Amino acid sequence: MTEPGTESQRAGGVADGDVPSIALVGNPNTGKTTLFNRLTGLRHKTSNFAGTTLEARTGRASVGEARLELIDLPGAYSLELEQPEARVCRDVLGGEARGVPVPDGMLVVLDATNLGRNLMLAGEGLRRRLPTVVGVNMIDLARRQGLHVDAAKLSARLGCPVVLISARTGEGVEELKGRLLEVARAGVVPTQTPPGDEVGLRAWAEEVYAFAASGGAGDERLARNTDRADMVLTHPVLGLLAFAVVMGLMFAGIFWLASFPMGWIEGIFAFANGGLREVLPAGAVRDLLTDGVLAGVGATVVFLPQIALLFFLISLLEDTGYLARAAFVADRLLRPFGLPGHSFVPLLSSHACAIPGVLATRTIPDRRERLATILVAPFMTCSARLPVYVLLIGLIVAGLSKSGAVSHPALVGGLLFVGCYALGIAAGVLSALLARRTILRGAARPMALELPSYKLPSVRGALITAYDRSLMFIKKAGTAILAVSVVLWWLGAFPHAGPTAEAQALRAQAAVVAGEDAGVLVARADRIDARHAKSESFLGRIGRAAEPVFAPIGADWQLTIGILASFAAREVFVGTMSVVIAGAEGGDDAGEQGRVRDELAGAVRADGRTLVFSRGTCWSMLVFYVLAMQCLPTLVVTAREAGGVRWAVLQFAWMSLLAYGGAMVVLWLVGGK
Amino acid sequence: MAMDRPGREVVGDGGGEGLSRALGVGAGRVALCDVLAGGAGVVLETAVGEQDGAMLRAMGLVPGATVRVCRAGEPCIVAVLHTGASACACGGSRIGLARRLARGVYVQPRGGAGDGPAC
Repeated sequence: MTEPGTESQRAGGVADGDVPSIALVGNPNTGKTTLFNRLTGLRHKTSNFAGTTLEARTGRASVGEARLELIDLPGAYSLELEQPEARVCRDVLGGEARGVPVPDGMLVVLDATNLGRNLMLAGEGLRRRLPTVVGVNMIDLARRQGLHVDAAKLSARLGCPVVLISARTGEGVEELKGRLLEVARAGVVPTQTPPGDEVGLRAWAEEVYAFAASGGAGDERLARNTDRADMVLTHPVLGLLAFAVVMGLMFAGIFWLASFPMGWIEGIFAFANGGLREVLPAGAVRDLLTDGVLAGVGATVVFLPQIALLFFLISLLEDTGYLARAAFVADRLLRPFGLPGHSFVPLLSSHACAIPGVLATRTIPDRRERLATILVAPFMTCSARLPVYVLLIGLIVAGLSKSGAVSHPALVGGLLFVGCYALGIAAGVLSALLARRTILRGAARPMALELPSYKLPSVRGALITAYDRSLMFIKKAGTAILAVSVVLWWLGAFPHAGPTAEAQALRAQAAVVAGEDAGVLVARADRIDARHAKSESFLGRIGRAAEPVFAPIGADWQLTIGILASFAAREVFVGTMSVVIAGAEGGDDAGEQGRVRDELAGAVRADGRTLVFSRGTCWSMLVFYVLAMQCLPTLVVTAREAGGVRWAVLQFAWMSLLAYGGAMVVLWLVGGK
Repeated sequence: MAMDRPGREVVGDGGGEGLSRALGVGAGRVALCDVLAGGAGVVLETAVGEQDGAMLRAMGLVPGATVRVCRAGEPCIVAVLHTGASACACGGSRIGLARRLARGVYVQPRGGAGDGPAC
């Protein structure tokens, strides 16, 4: 470590044409990410620091004609802590992080309203001997609290340029960029080297504070308001109630608001599908583009509005300071299962879709707790399960009311829906507990959670986060599901089976009758051929071959096709079963959908007597679909976020095992018929 | 920055209620988890193991810091009002602390903690 110098020393610097790289360092809740967003806008990408589950965001900022490459390091209370966040900061600043060269400069972001503590980190940063600029953020809030920070005095004590900024309003940000470019190009390292030991550093920080800051008697009204809000929001009972209301409103809002753009997206894809069918000649290429590519991409993209809204609202909530209180309250609920309060939002998000849920685990500081949350997130009932629940619960309730066993079918249906959600949650938290007691054993990181001050959220920041997460979703899930859709389409479409004799006869009959009857006959012939084609396709053959595997949970070869098809994405189950059994997907027409449902309900197995969807099978399939891991995009995201394919394999194996076992038990309990 | 207001009554829920269930106001050393809501004190040490201690100190719970318990129990909420002799009291920070950590943070009960939030 270099000893304090008296004058600026050159550390090499960067040539004029090169883009200097700057690492952003700061305590959590200093507005570092808001500043990063302010500096880079949409010109950034998100990945992970190699070998960690920590998010690495890099982006470019313009300074006139010049550019700066910014690396947003994880927020850390100290660079010397034995925690992943601090380790990543140390590695990057020291040039020891894989794939990240030593930065040309460092921007230390301090919170003006909590400057005393923040200066400790600044001191640690200065000892790194990198060209440094200190940005004192939230200066507008500090002024309102009566605190005066003298930038020139602070700069003199720190031995590097200091800029007073407000990332929220943009105050000082242009000057900050100019200073960063200057020091990085010139390679000017700080002229001061604060003490390396904790006690000395603390004394140094206090001395610097006393020299450069004054006033700040505190805003008593603000403090009182914070107390009042905290009294309610962190209360063991009221806090939970408030939490339930906030989350309930948020999710109701997401589902309601997202339904509009989701409808538009479905309309656009249906329009494109219809257009392609009209333009292209019938054949494999047309089917590949419509049934494979468009259907697959459409099925993914339709969830985009939910995901964008979810992250927009979560980001707003986080910015207000409420999310930390929510984590504080949820900690009591989740701690018995080995999960921290931070897991609540990811698990709740997974009820829309497990992919944003897994992405949202990035806020969980402890690695083991984060991995446990990732592993169990897909147990939560996502939107893609709903069509399957609707079909199976519909069949169960219809069967029960036909036999006179229930008098209020709608109520029973509703209870079954709630039961499915509860089963998913129970399986999730108990699996988390098991994981924390076995493979992810280790003391939980005890809660030391900063509760930031309440403030108005930044809509701009929330929009950027929503955009960022949506892009990740599209890139990761979209590409995976596209590939899977094409493969599934191919398996289901080839080898081409010729028309059946029965269908040919119907068509011949249609040729000699007139009007509507001919149309009905041709439609019937088409359905018979579609069923035949599916049964003779590779998927059909695989279904027959794999039937013994799924027989113990009540599936015949037709259901086996549905189950196998839905291992990539469970929402294809209803469509696949409709094609396999009824020869048509049901379409948009309510009458047609009803016809398909009736055919599904009445379809019989190879023995000609037993129903495909027998009572026992409906129940076992329902449990199977609640618990099974049937979403390839989620597995892809799990592998990436957890830092290894083995976690995705474990997730798949455990959920499949539980689903299979659960379905078997339920079949045994309910009975096969 | 002198933050104290001499002469102001201590600690407790605004009515001179005890700072510590066990030791009462003026006692030498009290674990943070035993301080009632509204009670204040000056941090003496963080005896919670090397790593956790370093983290708490980095979060502002350094010896000499004035703290006030905003919510007692498991977990509790502590407002760090003064970080050391000269640090800023305005805003400060609030930390949600597990009992496991709070029972290792010892404070010297203190009167007239003054300008901090009246929890």
